[in-house]
Amino acid sequence: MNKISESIKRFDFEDKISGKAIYTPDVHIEGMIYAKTLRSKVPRAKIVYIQIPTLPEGYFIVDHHDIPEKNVIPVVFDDQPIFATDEVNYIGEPILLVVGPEKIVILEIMDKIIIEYQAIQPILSIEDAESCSAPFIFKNQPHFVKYEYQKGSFYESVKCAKRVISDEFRTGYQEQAYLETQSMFATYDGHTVCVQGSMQCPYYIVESLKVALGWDESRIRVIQMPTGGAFGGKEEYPSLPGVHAALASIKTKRPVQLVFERQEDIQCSTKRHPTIIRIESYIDENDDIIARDIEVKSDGGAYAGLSSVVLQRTIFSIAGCYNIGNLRVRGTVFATNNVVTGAFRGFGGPQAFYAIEMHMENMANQLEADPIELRRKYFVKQGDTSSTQGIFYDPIVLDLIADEVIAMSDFNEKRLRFKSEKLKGIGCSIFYHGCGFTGAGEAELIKPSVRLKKDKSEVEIFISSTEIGQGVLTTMRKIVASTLDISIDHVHHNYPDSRNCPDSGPTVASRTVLIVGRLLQDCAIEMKKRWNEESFDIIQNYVYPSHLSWDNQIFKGNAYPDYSWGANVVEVEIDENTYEIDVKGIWAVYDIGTPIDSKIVKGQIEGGIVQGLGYAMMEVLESKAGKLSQDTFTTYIIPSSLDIPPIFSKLVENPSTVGPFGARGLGELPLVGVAPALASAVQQAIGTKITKIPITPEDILKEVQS
Amino acid sequence: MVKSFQPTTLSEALDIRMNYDVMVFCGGSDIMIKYRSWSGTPAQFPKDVMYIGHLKELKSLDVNPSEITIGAAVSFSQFLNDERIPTMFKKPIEQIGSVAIRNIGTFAGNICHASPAGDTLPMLYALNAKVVLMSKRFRRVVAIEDFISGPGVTCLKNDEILTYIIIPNTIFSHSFYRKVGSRKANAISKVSVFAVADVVEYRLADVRIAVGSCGPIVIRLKDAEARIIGSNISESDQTVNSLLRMFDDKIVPIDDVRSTKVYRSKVALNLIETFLAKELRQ
Amino acid sequence: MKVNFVLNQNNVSVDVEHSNRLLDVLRDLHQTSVKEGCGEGECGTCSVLLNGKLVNSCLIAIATVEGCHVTTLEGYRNTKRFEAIKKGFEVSGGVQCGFCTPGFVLAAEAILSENPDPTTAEIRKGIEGNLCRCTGYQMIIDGILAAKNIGKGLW
Repeated sequence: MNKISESIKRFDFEDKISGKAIYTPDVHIEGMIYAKTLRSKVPRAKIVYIQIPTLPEGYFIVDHHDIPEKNVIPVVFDDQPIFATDEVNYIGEPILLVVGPEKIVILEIMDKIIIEYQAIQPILSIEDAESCSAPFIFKNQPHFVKYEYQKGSFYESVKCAKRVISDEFRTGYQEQAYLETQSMFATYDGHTVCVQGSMQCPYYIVESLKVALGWDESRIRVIQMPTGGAFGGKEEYPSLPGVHAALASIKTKRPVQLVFERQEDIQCSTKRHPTIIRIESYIDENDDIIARDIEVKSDGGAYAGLSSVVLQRTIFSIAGCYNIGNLRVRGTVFATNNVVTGAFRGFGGPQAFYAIEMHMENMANQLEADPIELRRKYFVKQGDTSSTQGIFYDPIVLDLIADEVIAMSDFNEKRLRFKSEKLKGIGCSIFYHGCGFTGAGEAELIKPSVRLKKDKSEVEIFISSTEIGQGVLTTMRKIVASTLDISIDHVHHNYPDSRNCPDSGPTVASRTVLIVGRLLQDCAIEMKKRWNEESFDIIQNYVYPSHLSWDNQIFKGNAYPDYSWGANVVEVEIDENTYEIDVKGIWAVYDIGTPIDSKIVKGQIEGGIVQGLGYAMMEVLESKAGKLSQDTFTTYIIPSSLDIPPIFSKLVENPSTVGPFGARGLGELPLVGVAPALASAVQQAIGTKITKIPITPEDILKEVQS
Repeated sequence: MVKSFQPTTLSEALDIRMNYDVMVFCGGSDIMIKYRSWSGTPAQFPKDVMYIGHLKELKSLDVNPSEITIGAAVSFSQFLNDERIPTMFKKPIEQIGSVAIRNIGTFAGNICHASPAGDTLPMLYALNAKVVLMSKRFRRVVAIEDFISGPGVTCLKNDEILTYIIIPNTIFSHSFYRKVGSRKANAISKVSVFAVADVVEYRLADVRIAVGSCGPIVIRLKDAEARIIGSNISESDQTVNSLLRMFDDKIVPIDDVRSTKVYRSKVALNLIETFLAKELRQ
Repeated sequence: MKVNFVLNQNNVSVDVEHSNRLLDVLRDLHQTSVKEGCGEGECGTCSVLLNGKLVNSCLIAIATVEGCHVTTLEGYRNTKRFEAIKKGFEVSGGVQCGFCTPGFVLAAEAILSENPDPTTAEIRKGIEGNLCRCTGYQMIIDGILAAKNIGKGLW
């Protein structure tokens, strides 16, 4: 094992295990008051009027009138208001805040506020949006974005096809279900507004505050607090409550706490995109796949948010780990009056790999081929081009990964045996995750930089990357200490504060170790050269690798700077009485390059797999008339300790040339492959096609009866 | 803000119940969720509350050869930890909620909540359990199926307290419990079946089957049971089928956020069949 | 109403509404290790020990706490048993975002105080009411298994 992979005690361990870590809802300072959000109860309407009762002294309403500059949350398109003005577009859209010292009084005021709505016909599904029967939500079109790209000569090649195998799949919403709800805390000293809270991306909030307030960055400060889980749900969403808390604090000149209730959080915060995905494979007389036609439709909800970027990842990933020469890939994000969808661990990847891997499984069944050997025939290799025609420069070890997972799980023997054993099944998936921002995003949008400071024998890390449980406060220290070859006790690193941390980009996209870690390594190499100087700072900016290229207009080139790879096998047995899925085991093999800390890596793997298992078979979340039906922890079901199967994971050695010490991205990868492997296993067990996730016992009964 | 009463004796509690319109608070695991308000604010009870969970008289758990008498304030954990209680009666209880819920939750609360998904109810129906209802002047003993008349509806009068639950301490040769929830812990049941039988030399001397979450109240068909009592368990396929048909007619589940009508009835019938056609023959 | 109880072996007296949740009362008493995750007894982040038994403090009306002993992590962390559990979690890597951690530590204490030598299955059952979204549970289970050996004789 590489020395850096040896696990050390996490630096946030002592505070967390002893309960001393102070999370945002735990902050209580003199004079603090509370804010509660009044939200739309209807999916789509004009606001005719809002009637506010006379407020007792010390109580305030904060709404769009209190925004000095621009009523918009800047993401990709500037379409989402901070507060609704004259219309609402989803249930849960914020309209105003009631702010004051006593929660009971705030509730009384909320009760007395009357909002008169004039209903507009809502668009409540992808199908609704496609049929365009209601007025559009976004510009003059039913969608936020519509993309298409091709590889090879798609139209020519399909003419040579002898047959077509096609599938259509549906994937559901998923809720991040971090244990700490969205929480923000803001203070204002007459000059500077400071927002502290539970977040992944401090600079997203800085940017949102700049736009809303029209203030100079010197008057804005954002600090991350210990954060009780995020999983993408605290990427772009916290900008909304972050700005809300800031506006409330500026207006009242008091410290303001804004903490979501669980039900409010599930109803209003961003979810994983539901999708409908169609794949057609064109096959020649030798049963070779010569072309693929793929169409992805997703429900973006009422505002664009990050949906365009999420869709990009879905349509780039959906070619899977396979080198198919001719592709046509189309994708659309529809605007609906459902909850806004956004970032969630995997970021469009889980939907893509569910569809392509189920399609490969179905093809293997139809062609009577071994499911892994069929895949192997098309595995991408070093030197091949990706779906977007970027060259894979580094060695790809999919053969080894497949061999390992077959051996560990006894896949071949079980696959054969379960053909004659009722209600038992085994399935596999092969997948990757593109690490880092899409295309040239790192260089063009993010422009990350990091700062290292030396003061005598002590070194301090300044980055905006957040500790959200994934171990940033430990792994970054390890990278710097190992590079400088000094004891890790001399390396310091705190939760990010925009006051002294440069923007090293958001904590997303499995990019933190890969991109930020590498920048820190480069920084530390420079520092080592000047080690005899007593005190100095180094700032390192990201430089786009010269061998990569990306054209964002036609989606051509290297979609990601690096890739991590994996394979899963899932074995199931279906209960003959209750149709419940008993997961007998999950086997997982990954190429994540060099692990930076083996225990942290194991934690990411097991946590990701269990979250993927929830996505595959438990976490039902449906929108009925624009309202999510499962909006509490009693009805939205995440796995408990009694639901977890035995998990066997293994890493293959294939160091990256991009990341520090050969590390690749890891955070998202383990979630990505679980659903297709599980669904394939269920298919084998019951002998009929599974075309949706999550797969519930109710679905299985339906399949068994049909 | 509503008033609270904390009597120190059962007698005092019955006085309060007679003189005031109060909601009775035992373990609180349902009530505290139902009337929850914003974090940091008190639960908003709709009327005055009387806390009885601390009353010594109601914490008793008596077991004798003919009856088990459970005080209203006995927690599920206390019941589970009592070695005198037959294991078969513990099966449904150990799957209720989680450890922390079982430490405060009570039979009395579960019964008075009268949810179609109440986890104690199928067993209580199958075992012919009775509840003791006390007021200042009267004490009446009511069969569980007469106590609950619909979802959340019981015949508890305004001046009464459900003080004890009596389970006949009958020994059966076979018992069966299966709760189907959306996950394996802390789940509300989608379907549950509790069944017991006494098989004497291949003859079915007694059988009771109760189904939860498949209608407004627990379903137990005593006339159907009567029809198969006395039959030979290895030659009873026809009787099993006719009994399943009778259940099929009576099971009237609903579609909700947790499950579907179709699923609930099919699974309930599967479980009954498994009990009668497989478990009994082992 | 006035309620007197023993918090981490100290007598406390609070003057609150009878239907205040124990969770809120404890947090007002600076017991911020007691978190709110769902407010309806599903997640276990608000776990405390009430007379030595694990409970969800969001489901406990303060009126019912009169005369009881309440233990939070603020008190428990000063014990030798805590040191064993802490070491166990350190060895296993059972802490990630940390929000569920205080609840799991007290659930571990509840498991080990009832049975100093639990099996893996008994541990899983003992933490069934504590949700964790980061770890997938196995590393927490391993932490409790490690703790029972590290702290042998303490329970």
